[in-house]
Amino acid sequence: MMTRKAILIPPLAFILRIVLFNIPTIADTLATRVEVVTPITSFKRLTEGLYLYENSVPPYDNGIFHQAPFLLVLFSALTSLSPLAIPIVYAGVDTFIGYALVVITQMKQKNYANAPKLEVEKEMAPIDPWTVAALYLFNPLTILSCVSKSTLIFTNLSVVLSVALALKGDAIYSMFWVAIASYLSFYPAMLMPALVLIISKWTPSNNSTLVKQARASTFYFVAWLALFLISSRILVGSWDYLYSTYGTILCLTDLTPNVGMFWYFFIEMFDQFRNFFLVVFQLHAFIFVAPLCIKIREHPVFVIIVLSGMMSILKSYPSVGDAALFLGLLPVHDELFKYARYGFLVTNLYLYSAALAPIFWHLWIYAGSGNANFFYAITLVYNLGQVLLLIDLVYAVLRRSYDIANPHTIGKEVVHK
Amino acid sequence: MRLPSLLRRLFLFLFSLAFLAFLTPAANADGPKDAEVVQEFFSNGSGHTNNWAVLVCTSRFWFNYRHIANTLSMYRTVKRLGIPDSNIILMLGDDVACNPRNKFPATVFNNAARLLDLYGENVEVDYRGYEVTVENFIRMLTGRVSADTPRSKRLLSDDRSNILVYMTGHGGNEFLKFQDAEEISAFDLADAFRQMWEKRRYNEMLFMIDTCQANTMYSKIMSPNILATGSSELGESSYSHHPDWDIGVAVIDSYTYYNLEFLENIDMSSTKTLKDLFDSYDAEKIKSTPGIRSDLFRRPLDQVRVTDFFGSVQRVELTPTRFITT
Amino acid sequence: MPWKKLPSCILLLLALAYPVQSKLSSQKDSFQEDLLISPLKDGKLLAHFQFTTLVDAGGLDEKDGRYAHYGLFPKSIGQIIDHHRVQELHLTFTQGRWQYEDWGYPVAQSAGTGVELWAWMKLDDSIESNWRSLTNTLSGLFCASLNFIDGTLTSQPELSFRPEGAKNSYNHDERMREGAEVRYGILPHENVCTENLTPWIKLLPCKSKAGIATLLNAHKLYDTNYHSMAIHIRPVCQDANCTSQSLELVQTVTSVLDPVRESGRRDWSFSSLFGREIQSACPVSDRSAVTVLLPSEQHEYQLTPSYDTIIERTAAQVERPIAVYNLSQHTEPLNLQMTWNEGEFSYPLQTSKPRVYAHKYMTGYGHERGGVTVNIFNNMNESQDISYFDSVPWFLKLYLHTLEVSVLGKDHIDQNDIVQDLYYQPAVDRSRPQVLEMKLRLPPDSVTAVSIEFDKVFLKYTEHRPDANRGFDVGPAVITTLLPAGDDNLASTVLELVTNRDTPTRQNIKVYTEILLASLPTPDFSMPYNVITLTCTVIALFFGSIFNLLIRGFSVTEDEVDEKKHENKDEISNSS
Repeated sequence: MMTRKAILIPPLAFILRIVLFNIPTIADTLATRVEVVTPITSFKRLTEGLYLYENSVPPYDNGIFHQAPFLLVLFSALTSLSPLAIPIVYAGVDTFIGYALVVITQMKQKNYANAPKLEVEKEMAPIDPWTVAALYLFNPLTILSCVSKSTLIFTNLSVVLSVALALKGDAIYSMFWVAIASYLSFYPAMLMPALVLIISKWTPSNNSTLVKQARASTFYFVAWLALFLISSRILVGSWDYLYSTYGTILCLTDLTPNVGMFWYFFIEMFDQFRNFFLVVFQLHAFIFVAPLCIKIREHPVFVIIVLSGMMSILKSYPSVGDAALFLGLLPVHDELFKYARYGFLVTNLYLYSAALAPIFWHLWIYAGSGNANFFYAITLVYNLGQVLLLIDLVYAVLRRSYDIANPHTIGKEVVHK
Repeated sequence: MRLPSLLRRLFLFLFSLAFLAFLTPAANADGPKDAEVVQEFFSNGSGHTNNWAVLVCTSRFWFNYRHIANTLSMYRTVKRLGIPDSNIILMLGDDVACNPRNKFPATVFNNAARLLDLYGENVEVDYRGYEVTVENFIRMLTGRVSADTPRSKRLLSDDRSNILVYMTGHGGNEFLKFQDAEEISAFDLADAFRQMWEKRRYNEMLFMIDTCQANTMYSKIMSPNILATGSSELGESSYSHHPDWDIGVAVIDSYTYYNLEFLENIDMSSTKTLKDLFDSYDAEKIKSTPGIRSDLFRRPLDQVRVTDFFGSVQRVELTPTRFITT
Repeated sequence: MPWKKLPSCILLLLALAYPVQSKLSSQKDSFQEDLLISPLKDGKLLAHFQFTTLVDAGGLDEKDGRYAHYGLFPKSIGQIIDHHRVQELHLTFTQGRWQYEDWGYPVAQSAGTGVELWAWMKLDDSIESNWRSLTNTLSGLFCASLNFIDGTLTSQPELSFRPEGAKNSYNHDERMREGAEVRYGILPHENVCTENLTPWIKLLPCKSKAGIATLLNAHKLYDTNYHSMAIHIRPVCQDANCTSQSLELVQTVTSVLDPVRESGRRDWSFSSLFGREIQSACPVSDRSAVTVLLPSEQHEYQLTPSYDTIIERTAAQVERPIAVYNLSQHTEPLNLQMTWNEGEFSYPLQTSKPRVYAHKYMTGYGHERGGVTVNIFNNMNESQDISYFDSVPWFLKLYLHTLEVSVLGKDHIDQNDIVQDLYYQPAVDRSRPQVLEMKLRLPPDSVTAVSIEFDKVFLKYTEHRPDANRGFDVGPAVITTLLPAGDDNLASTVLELVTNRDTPTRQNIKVYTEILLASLPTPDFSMPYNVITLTCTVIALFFGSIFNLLIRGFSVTEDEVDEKKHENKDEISNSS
């Protein structure tokens, strides 16, 4: 059923992006801003890798290009078509992510129609799926990330498609898309257990238990991933792309600033402690998967949301595109918003860091009157905002479950025990 | 040609005499006494057979001209008193002689009168510029250098070497700053010296340091046979002596200046002792309190010659009798 | 009796052996020293010292220890070459910038500021360790920090820096290239001072005690506008078929002195330039000569003492007279003096530019990115083929897809017409530099601009230098081309004429551009512990809160208070 929103929102979003692509000042400035592009998602570096690849220079034997080989193939095809192809593809992919969010919301609301609810929720209508899409498509962070031609958009697309297909119960293709996301970005591999939970929880299947489903899904995931890696090896001709792509993500060979917390930490780190802290930081990103999946197994879509939020903080090269994905998935569980305690604070932190980050970057790099600490402080504030939001969300889901189980505690203070 | 028969016989006689003398067994009455002579020759006094000097200037930048001048003054002194370039490790943190700001190219002066060019024609700088780091310094002292290190950058001392270690730059309470980027602490220095003692890399050492709060730098040394002297106490700064208005910066530090005043009157034959040197220190003139640490040093200071550390005076003794080895 | 003859036989043998020995060694070595003085168009004076030592290499086959007997050839150099399997070695120490537009081409072609080392080494398994060991050994020998030329600064040129020795590629003999590889490294920021000159002088047979080298006064040499000191070692053929070879060691000092700065006049003498006179020729030299390139008009100047020989203008395209002083014939000290018949010197308004020269500069602003542009000037009426070489260190990331080669003012010329060949080696962080090499065909009378963009790397705390805010130096670009003799390379033509070498019809000219200074973004150096604490605080806040939430459950605090309230109410109601 096509509502008015459904007719208006996608074209509007598409046209907005195309218009912005055609303003060179905006498109070119964004393509090089550190908050929006990182060394592993930069379009300029992709162009360099593509140029080297097409001129028979090994594209991975350098310190510039760190992106997956499939992107080389995709973009060599796109650039051979026409110069317009790339903006159209980016705008189209972003719009399609919006549509996938609609599908996710619809399926989630269908699955939760008969779940236990609070009294107040029984009268409230859940959020309109197209509102969720609009919140994603017209979020400034999303638009910035799209117009900058950051290749993170393909990772975001893969994540969102894998969730949508998991909700539909299609294990094979859900694992396909999460394998693509892991192949492109490495960190989305942590979403796999939550996707298994989604598939096993809401797919009516006669004889598959959680364990059987998990085994099958893991097999699909590993098989797809192996296929991608081997075909990349064939495309590029050797295995050294592994060191250049995943090696850079894991070992942080490029210390270009971004909105994350890794870069300054590892610039200032002395050499004898570097390996230890690298291991700790990377491990830290993955350790929350098991506890979250166990504790919040009733709401696996929520687990995906929290994990994507964690990725945008704890990745080695995060950008606002990761936050865009997180904030886009967030309204899917709109029933948690009534439990949010720090809404005002978090909003202010996001606005504050968004306003000051470019200013302090300019002061450090161009004006020379500020130093690196200014920009570093803003990254801390930004990450603090995201941390607070995540903590709030986890509290919200747990409190809601507790309130549903114990209705008399609604509105009362609780302590952890 | 044929030698005359007389000459031939004379030749034969002398030859057989020499041959017999050569074959005479060494076990005559003088044997053990010669061994004693040798022992006494090498252990009399300090017991050292060779001298090394390690001269370090840890400062960079033009306004630290005086630190380079300090180090080069010491370099000139030890060269004048006999230590060859092959036994001197000279570390200069920056180049002031050929610095574009130097009004007198290829010269370094330590006096406003500009009578003596310290750089001269024959200077060998072993570690220059960015090579003067804490790591290189400690590696050089302890001998743990990479296999490619050239000979001129190695401290090839042995257990009979007397080493003069002179350091100058900016320092503080138990640390010395290397080139504005890193520091060496008194503990690091003491550890390096301890390693040297364990590896038998020195016989005796004179550690001399001219920085602010210099005396704290040798407070942690624990190895034997080390004599240390510094320019100022804890809480005191060391001051420069005077500037040269044409060069535009101070050209020598006070403590080093007064050391040189004494040392310029020494030559290789001098019998002046370190006690004389230390007695010549006047805290009023130097404008800070120099310190001396001699608790680890086994010989009394009035028996230690200045040339035991600052020069390389080879002991030569002419014996009336022939010395025979067994 | 036979034994009686023994001592006499021994004596006889000894008597015979000595002259044979010395004859052998004198056959093997030869030494020549030359000083070329050439007034330059802008009033400055080029003084070029060249010391050549030749030693017989004993055939084309390599034998271990072939340089076992050292006479005039310095042992330290011979041992270094033997031990590190070096076939050609070129080491240059330069300060200042050679101004091609004012001074033409220098005699010794390596004019890049700083220390430049390139060598052709035998290609075997140990070539990398030999190169590393070579840089370290040379750093100890010349008191320079050459050990900093490690993998991050070493490059392997493909088109430039071809062998200049016996089997050089310009004679189309490829045998040298098989089994040997070139290594090139430059330290643009290395400064040159007396401690580098002293060991260099010690390599000469007469050191600075006799001969032309007595003029090398450090106090005067390092006060010049430009000075460059080099050693070049290469094999040379002794005959046309190259059946036997010699090893040639050429030591050069090139300096550009400025008498006008002192007195306003162009007059010079040895005592005013160097503070010294030449006392005598070096006794072991075969040739000791001072050559002065004279102005074309005889009335413009006076030269005392008068020359021994003069080579008139008709010789070999050189249109000016060349005065030669043969020092071995002089018994008195030589203090050459030239006075110009003019008042104060007036600088020429226009100088004639050389045929090919180049300038390099950085574009852009800020510490994030920028660009490099090299303008190559071709002043000839015909097109010229050149090789372009640029080794950019890894801390500037070049983007090859932004490379543009264009001709200023002539947009119609396509890039592909100019660029004949392109070699590119991308940089690997902390491992190797970028090498960009091109074969360009410069259009006649044109300025070709080669430009490329780069991003600046954010370095680790420990990778910054102690004076981090100064920035990092980027080496010069090198343009190599073949040019026939002309007005701009007069000095080298004259020197080859005077030293009776084979003057090739076309000379190998290398043009070096300026070095650049790139300031990279610096972190705050006082912050390591603060950064660790602050970042870990945010992470700990996150971890702690999530951990708390996940591990623990909830319990309502008011339950107990409510129960107590109920109990109190019950008590009150019970008691009342």
